[in-house]
Amino acid sequence: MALTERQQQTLVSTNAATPMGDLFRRYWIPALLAEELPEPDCAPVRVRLLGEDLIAFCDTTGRYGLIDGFCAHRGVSLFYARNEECGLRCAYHGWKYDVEGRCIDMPSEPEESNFKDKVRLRAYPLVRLGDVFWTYMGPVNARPAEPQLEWATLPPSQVYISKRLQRTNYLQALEGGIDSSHVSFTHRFSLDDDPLHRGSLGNVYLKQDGRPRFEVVESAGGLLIGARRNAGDDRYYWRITQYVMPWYTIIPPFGENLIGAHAWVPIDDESCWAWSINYHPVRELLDTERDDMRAGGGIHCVYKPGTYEPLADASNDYLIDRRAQREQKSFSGVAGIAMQDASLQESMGPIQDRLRERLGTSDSGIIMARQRLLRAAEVAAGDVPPGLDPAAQRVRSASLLLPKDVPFQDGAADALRLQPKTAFVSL
Amino acid sequence: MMSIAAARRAGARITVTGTAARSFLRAELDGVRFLAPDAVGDLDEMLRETDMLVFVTDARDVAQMPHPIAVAEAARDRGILVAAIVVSDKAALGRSPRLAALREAADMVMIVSDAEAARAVIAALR
Repeated sequence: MALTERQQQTLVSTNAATPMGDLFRRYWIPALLAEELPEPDCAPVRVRLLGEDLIAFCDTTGRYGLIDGFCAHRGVSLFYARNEECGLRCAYHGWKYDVEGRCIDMPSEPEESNFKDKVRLRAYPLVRLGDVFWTYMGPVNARPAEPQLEWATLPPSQVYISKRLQRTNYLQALEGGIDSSHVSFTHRFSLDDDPLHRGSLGNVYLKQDGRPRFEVVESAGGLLIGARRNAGDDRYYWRITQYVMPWYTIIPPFGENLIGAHAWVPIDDESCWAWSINYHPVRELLDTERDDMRAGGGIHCVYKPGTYEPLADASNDYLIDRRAQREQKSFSGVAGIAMQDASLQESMGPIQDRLRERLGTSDSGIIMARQRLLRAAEVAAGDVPPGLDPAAQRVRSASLLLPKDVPFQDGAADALRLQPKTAFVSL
Repeated sequence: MMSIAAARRAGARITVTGTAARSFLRAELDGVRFLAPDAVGDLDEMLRETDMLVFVTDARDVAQMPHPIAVAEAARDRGILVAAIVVSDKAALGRSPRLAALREAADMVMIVSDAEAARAVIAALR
């Protein structure tokens, strides 16, 4: 069988004290959008990551905190707390916590008591890089350098980031990001119309050749997944996806359009945040591009008002349009690239049973990503897991034509390295 | 911890060949057939009941790799998927003609860093 039951369990379980949960806690984790904590003393925000319920807040002085979601006293949710005077005060008995989880006031206990000094909630650092708050939930003495993925280091004017709830295990979403062959089908009729994908010569090759051949190579931080399609007698059209441990994918670019990337972050074992990022390394994004993305274009989606939940979901059959399907306007009938993926991945159930699947040659990236994760999960506590070295994160995807006798690792070597303030290589 | 109902599916039948297959795979994977890389004879018999033919080659031994094209084409003619696993501590392998031939012959190529990774990938293909 493709995976053993034990391997499957290891891959999909991300709570604390599980092999994958411990591995993921060694990395910085995208936790919130900057817009969720807009100002000092704003409303606290519920955050659930890797099965842990937390609360994020910005205190009166502008310090950010991510602490246990429940008061140490009687377990009341701190979502209902008052964010005031440099701390979160529980609305039940007034216990108050600072951004490091220390209990700094306990008005329900005798004034002379030092009980509050003995109470401390779990707390994680919350660091803002661009428009994202990142957290680190691992051992304090193993905290790595801050993320160096290109989109995490560019000025906000060159980046657009959204997140959406996906009701599947992170692995289903990640595997969708690695699987380049579905593009020729699921998104077949969307590429020419979508404002963030149209105009690419690569779209022609994608539609002409639905049977790409794959070459997958272990990289320092994850995998290089090359998919080659025929492009005439003497050349191949290569789309090279970067998978960076533990859950980042960088989509091969489409023409001059913005580069797309994802982070597939476990909320718990049955849901994840699909972070979707578009960026340009050498120019600010255009207002029209931002408008298109806000409207659900590209890899983004339309939300239910006031939430990060997609408007199209299983309860409304993802608003499938059978007529659009028949008339070749949408291959899957679902509108939007993000929801085309999400609808199919959620239809597999919250945790796909991989013991029943039949993998083919187009799944080589998925096979190797699983092995990469499983082997990383065996890394001893003192060792450094792959992808933590900043150099391993400074990578790019690429789409290009190469002569048939040139391996993509040679022909695209420069294109796959992040060279600051240079354009990406794209067809 | 959640649990998943296990229902074993029919496994893919794998035949492994190639220079590295000889050295470390032969006795180590249950249910995987071994085909000597220099085998001659009836290909129908050699590839009998195979779903996938996997070439496993150490990058250092590529020059010694015999006739991958002929065997791969024979496999393809019989509807068998062809995969290549190259064990190399370098991601870029250069432009060896034999390697190029293997790349052309295979439906998928995977370059892994060590023998353990190769074994894991073959186990996953089953």
